[in-house]
Amino acid sequence: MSRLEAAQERRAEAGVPGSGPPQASDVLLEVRNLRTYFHVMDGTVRAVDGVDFKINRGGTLGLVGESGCGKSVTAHAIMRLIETPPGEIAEGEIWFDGRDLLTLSDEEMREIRGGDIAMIFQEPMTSLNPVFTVGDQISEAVRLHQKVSAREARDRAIESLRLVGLSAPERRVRQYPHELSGGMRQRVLIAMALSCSPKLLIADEPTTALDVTIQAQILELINDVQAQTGTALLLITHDLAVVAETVQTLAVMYAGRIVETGSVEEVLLNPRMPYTQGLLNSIPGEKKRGKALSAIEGVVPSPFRMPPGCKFQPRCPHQWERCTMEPDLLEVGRSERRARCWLQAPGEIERRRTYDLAAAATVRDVIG
Amino acid sequence: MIKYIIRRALQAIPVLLGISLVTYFILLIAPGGPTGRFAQNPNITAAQIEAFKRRWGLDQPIPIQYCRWLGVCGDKPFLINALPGGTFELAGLKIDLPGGDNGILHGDFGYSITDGRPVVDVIAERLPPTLILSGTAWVIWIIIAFLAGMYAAVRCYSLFDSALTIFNYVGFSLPTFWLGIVLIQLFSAPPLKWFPVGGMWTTRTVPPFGTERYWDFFWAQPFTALYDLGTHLVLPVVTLVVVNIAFDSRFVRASMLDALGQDFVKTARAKGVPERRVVFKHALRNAMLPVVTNIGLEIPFLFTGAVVTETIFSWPGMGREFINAVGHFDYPVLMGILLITSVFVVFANLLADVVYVIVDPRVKFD
Ligand SMILES: Nc1ncnc2c1ncn2[C@@H]1O[C@H](COP(=O)(O)OP(=O)(O)OP(=O)(O)O)[C@@H](O)[C@H]1O
Ligand SMILES: [Mg+2]
Repeated sequence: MSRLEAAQERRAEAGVPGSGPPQASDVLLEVRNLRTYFHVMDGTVRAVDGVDFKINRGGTLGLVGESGCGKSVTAHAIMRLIETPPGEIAEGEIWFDGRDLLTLSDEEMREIRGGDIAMIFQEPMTSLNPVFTVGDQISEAVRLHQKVSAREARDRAIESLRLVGLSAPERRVRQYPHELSGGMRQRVLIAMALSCSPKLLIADEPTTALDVTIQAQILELINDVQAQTGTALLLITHDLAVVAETVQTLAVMYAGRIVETGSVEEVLLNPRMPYTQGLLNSIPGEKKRGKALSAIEGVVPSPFRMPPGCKFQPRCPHQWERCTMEPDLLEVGRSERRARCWLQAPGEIERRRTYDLAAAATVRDVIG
Repeated sequence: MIKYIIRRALQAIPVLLGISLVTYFILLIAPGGPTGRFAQNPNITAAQIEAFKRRWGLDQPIPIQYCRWLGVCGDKPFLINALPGGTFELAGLKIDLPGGDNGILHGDFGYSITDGRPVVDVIAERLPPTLILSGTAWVIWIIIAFLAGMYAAVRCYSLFDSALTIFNYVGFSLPTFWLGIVLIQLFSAPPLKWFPVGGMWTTRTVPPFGTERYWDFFWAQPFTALYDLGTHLVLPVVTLVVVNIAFDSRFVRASMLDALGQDFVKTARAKGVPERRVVFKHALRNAMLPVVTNIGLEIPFLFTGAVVTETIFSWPGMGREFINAVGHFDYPVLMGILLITSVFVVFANLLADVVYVIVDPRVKFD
């Protein structure tokens, strides 16, 4: 029995509150206490270490954070595409549409992949199979999830290529990936993801590998199809400018945990966690023209030598003794607004005041 | 595609010419020479050796010898001789062609110094046994290499993978002659005596392979004939398979592993392709690309044969004939075999290139 199964059993026996599908029916995806570890030569990498978030039907969530903080691993865990070994989903629940994905059989999960949940990846250049035509690859996705003839599948492929704005889709279906540019390939991948009308689209840094003008087009496309089809969207990126224009809610990740969540405006205009403030600080803004961009001091801690307590504490300018204890995701103000920082604890008004001043200055600099 | 093949075939001509030149001169500087076989024989006089040289044209200057061997020089004038020769019949009309009829350009590889037979006949006689032995071994080791390599890649670092690695390592390091002899010791010698010690047919029971009598026997008793051939094949085939499987199975494993780690495999999984199809369709098609080239380049082996294996198991094929020819300073046979080998290598390269274009849409004929 795997560690996950053991945890599931323990939970069921204890009747832990919070188990079971989400109460609110408009919640499409709810991830609870997700932990994904990699057992490698030097030890265990806790790539995702207790992540919780929700996405409503048709809703959009942005997941941001520095490289290596566990964004892709979270997405892969939702798709159950973690390679085992060395990876392992050690604990957690992933409620999707009333079912816990972690309890499904491989076959049930396979039907969900590409059907109810579709995913697009960071590398459009290499994410399409070079030896099959674009049409074959989209049709394959269609036929895996719907009982349609080859001809119908091909028509669907053409239709979805048209949806993502590729010119002459009838000709494109017969082309091979190498005949298309990077931007066009990403459109093909989006078309493939949308071909089965998924309820949730996971986009893992869909624009990172593209040049800036194409980036804007692809984002706009994702925005458009999301609005048109009503698909929920989980957008992973490390670019705050990207999420600001695309999603409603934002979750900031650091060292395998969510450190701050809330609506995009709230988080970006009123960051409650020094890490988020640091991220904002490092984007170029109007007021900062001519000045050096300030990067966050220090480096991401090694997965094998995590500091005690708050994982951001060694790099945090506001750090004090209390930070050596692990903070919870504390509610701040309104509901669904949370930050994992002792500054937000009830008794810390004095410290909070100095921090808020610094944060406000940062936001002013960025917004201009 | 036809245009591409024709162009590549034309490009092969200078290559082959170069190869013929190189083989010719390498053999020339090798110690011994065509008269080397008389060196140890005290009964042969200098005059006899002179007569031998004159008879075989060895008294001519080297360039003339090469030129005659090629067929550019001969009875007809220089260069004209290279054109097609003999007579040609068209609608009852007999046309005398201007060219000569000697030299490899006219399909004349000369005569064996040892027994005076045309080299072409010698090769034609030795080729089928080699094709049978090498072909059987090749097919078997490719199939096993594929299955084992793929399985090892899908279950990489598993027990099977490690076992295969060890097997490959051992197989690759074993000297062929040693393995062959050990197999003979184990399975052909008493007490087991399961398989014949060597040869291709059981003398006295079965007529020599390739003769008319053999085929009469074959059609009269096909099962006996095949069984007899089969028992003679087992040990040499096993030897060849064990020794050669390592390279190909490592190659298949590596390309498969590479393909399985590619992003498009992740895409395929993410769109719900069943794992079996991920492996056999998406990854395998891509893993095939380098493998196809590699297999293509192994084709010449089918014709040239395995020198050591054929020698140990007294298999009457090209490889053993080559060793014989070396031992007897039989230069025309040596030259013939070397040149034919190069033709097959060039041809196999061309074939591999053509197949590559067919299986990989990214590569174009140009
Ligand atoms: N197959 C694996 N084996 C071992 N460790 C892994 C594996 N995959 C991911 N990790 C570890 O998990 C951590 C999180 O990786 P992840 O890919 O989720 O980062 P990310 O947030 O997506 O970063 P990026 O912005 O660079 O894509 C990293 O520290 C990485 O070393
Ligand atoms: Mg990533």
